[in-house]
Amino acid sequence: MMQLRMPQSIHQEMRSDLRRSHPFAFERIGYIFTKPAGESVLVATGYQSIPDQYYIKDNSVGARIDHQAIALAMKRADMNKEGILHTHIHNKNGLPIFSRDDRADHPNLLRSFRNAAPGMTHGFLLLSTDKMMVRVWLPQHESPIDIFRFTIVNLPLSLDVSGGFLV
Amino acid sequence: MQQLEEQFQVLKEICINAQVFEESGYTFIYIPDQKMPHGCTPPVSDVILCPQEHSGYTSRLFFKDIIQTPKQLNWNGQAFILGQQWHAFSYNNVANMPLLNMVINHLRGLVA
Amino acid sequence: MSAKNNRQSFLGPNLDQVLETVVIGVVGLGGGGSQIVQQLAHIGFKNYVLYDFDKITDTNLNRLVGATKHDVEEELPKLFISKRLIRGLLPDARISCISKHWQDQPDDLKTCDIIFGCLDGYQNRAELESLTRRSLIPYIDIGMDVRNDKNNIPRMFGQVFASIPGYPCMRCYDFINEEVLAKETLAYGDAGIRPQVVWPNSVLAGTAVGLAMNLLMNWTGKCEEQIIYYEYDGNKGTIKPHVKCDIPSKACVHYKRENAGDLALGRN
Repeated sequence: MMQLRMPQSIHQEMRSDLRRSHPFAFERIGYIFTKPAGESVLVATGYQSIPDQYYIKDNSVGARIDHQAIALAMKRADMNKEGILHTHIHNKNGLPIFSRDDRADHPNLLRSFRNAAPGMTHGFLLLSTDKMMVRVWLPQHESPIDIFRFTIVNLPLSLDVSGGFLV
Repeated sequence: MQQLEEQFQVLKEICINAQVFEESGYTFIYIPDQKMPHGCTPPVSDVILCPQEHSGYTSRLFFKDIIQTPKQLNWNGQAFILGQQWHAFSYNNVANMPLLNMVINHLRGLVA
Repeated sequence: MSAKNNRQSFLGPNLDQVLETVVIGVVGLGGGGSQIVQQLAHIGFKNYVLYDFDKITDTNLNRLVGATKHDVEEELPKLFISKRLIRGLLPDARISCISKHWQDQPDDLKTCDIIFGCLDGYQNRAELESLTRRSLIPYIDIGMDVRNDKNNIPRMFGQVFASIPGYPCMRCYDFINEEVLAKETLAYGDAGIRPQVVWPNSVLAGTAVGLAMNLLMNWTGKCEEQIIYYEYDGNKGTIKPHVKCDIPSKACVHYKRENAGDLALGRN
């Protein structure tokens, strides 16, 4: 079973950024960067906020970003040999589920991420107010893997094994 | 830091695939496929240079393989660095010189 | 909460799930490691990754918890003794045993949620810390020693150190430094016959396990104030926060968060 580990500093940075309001988008998007630690673990190595000016006005979706926003992630992933997790938040409690609009964007974004760092695992991280889930594609794999085991590394350790934080 | 960066660029002209990594407060220069001096087996190995004080040595060159040479060497430096096991022989007082010279001096220590 | 855990219910309502799912790594199953394994098994942890390459000898019997004279006669691996101890309490525990130096097969450690290190030597500790920092795993180290002072009186001392990613590391607290590493190299790694006895190991193991329980369960409600570096004075019989804990802690300067993860060493 795959799992994701994240230091509290990155987790906090991500949630604080995604909670901010945007001049016209209903949601914000960001990127978590990862590297593998062994075969079944991804560790977060950083978070990248997307500047306001890289959003496109589109009232039909929560948020839409332009090519410069995607290039931002690709550049870092290529330079540092990292995986990219496209990240956003659904403002409700409980285990979050990718919407139809979310899933529609996955193939194109994944293609871009893989172009930047083909040997790395890429995907999508979705937050709710109290939980998270991740969908990733291993290098050269067509089918995704859903991650439900997360650790936020801090005092205390926050361990989530089924879409719910234990502590 | 700028000096180190400049020295690294000079080293990279010869060792084109060299990379800089940080771990445990050290800066390591990783050089894949480094040619060994004549008479060594294997003739090529990955190496990691630690240009600062490490385990009692002024600098240290770690090898992916224990290199067989005509010279009797004390391979006393087994270390787990950047996620892998590496080996170093006892060879001290390589210091106060550019990175490239450090690598050359350490390699020379294999045979001279 | 299951009935068998009702004496431990103060630890928190999620205890059953934690015990069922958390993966514990223990590196070194000698005097310290065997005590840690015993305590964790009694608490009820179900998942273990254990490392030790050594076999039990006569000189281990004074402190290796779970060992018997018969084990020495059979020259059993220390791994077997720990595994037997766990199975005696938890027949369905999932136990991965690696009979190697951990550096020769490190990937199994990366699946752990917490790692206990009961190792000899500073370099060994420094290397394990670098792996746990890369893999973002809390690492709790214990160790003890006995040395004669200038009046030739034995002085017993030890430590419990929790290296938590994002928090100061062993180098930040100067527990590991170039001086101790150099001394170790000069001695060619020969620690000699190190004095080892059972009771300080139980103090250190108990402190380490208690620290881990607070880290996992936050049963005190104040885990953010948890002491992460304890010093043990065996002559006085005290274990207390290390004096360096009074220094306000800053983020670790030796392990930056962007340097986490495995490196794909090779050509660019």
